[in-house]
Amino acid sequence: MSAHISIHELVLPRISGPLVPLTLDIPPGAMIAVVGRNGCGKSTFLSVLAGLLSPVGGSVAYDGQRADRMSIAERAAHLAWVQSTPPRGSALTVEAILELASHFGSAKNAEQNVVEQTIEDFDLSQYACTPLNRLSDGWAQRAMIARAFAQNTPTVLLDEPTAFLDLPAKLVVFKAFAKAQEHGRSIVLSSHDFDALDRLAHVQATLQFTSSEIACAASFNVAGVEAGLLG
Amino acid sequence: MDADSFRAGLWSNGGAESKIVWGLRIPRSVMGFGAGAALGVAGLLMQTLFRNPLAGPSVLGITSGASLGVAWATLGAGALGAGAGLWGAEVCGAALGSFAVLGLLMALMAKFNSRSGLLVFGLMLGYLAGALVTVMQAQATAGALRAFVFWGMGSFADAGLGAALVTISLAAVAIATTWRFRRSLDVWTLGSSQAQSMGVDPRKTSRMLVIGSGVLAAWTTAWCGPVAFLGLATPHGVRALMRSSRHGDIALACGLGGGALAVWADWLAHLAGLPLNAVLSIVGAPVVIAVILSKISRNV
Repeated sequence: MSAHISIHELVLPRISGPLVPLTLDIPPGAMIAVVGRNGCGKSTFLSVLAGLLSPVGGSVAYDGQRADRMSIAERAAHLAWVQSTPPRGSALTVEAILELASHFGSAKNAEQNVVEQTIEDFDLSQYACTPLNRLSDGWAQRAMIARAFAQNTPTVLLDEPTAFLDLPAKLVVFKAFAKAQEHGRSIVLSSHDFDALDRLAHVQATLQFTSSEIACAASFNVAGVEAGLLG
Repeated sequence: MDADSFRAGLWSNGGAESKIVWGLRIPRSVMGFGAGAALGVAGLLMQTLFRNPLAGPSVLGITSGASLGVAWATLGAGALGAGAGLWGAEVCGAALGSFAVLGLLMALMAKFNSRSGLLVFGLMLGYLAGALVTVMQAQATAGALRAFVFWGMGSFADAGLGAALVTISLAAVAIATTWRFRRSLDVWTLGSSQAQSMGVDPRKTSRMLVIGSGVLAAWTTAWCGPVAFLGLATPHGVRALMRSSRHGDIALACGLGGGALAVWADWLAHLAGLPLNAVLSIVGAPVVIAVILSKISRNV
């Protein structure tokens, strides 16, 4: 199977720790968990994957196209990302947000269907007509994660997606993640929530960031992770 | 002027009544409507740009620039014995000042992509302009001072029908553009990063918002002076009445509502013999307080 995401000899900016280049091919339908302590570069890694930050060396490419050379619109067709803290100021309803996401995303002809399906997958129907600024942190975060999936991109990047979620909410989102994986969509997420990842998620590879290296444990054939192997 | 003489003036050629209706009343109402529409939309765009309900067309410092330009035209030039009291000096001064500030803002945005930077710039420019204005006021003649103070009260009466029609056209273009980009602007309320993830360019969007509201505010201020409160209050009233904050729903209503509010306030000002800005502030301040308080009490 061809790789969705090819990470080639990547060296991250900003962090003092690992300057060992990372090479990794992520196949469709894979979930990669990025773990490590605070400040070790997880969010930086996700920003580089999203093309928001340029790497010091190496490259990230989606279906052969380099992330940092895509236009904003091209990038939005390849990947969607969600930061760790949900926005709270907007008066848009959850349904309106999902409609907009699917309008700007890569599923233009099936707009209504995508919105309905996403509401169902993320179990958002009771808050579909609630404005974002009336939701709790947990529900706002769940709505924002749903927003990324409604964009219908091959790749979704999530920074600490479970930070505000309670256990039932985690069950719902991880089930939705698994369904997206079955449809060949790849997910890269950072997390401290080892327990939930262990029990609920279908993680194919773990990138562990430490102060000196990036260790990788993968169940698929990793094309030469030069940063060392774990487990 | 009563209804009958208005009607007589409307349909007759020549004569005092016709001159009053076509030379004064109609241009003043059309300008009022256009300026109100322009400021209503400009306020909406500013509140969207800063994601802040208290933003208005004046936060970027464009009004301060206009006031400095007018001070220079009425007070400064007067002290030098040239230009003061010439017809159009105020309009030219205000246009010069406000469009100069808009130019500076665009240059600033080309270098830095920061909304808080814009806000600080606008605020500091206000202080600077205020200081320079007081320097000129201290040395001005009584007549010039009076002209400057009157400019600050705002008025729809000084523009001709031509300028009024241009104002309405500008407002219409702004409404149509807001409608065209309604989805991007809706997404913008989720924050720059969410917007970018969904394919909406934050740089382009903020530049568009500054140019749009900047041109509307600069043009309106040049012809009508610093009209208070309309830009800030209109979007609040419209959002509350329409029960929506989506740009597709409220763009046109902000224009029509701002226009109607302006004409009504101007009519009140005319009846009571008060300055326009006094009426607008007396009516506008309680409206904004009520809307904000009701929002706070609903969120608690």
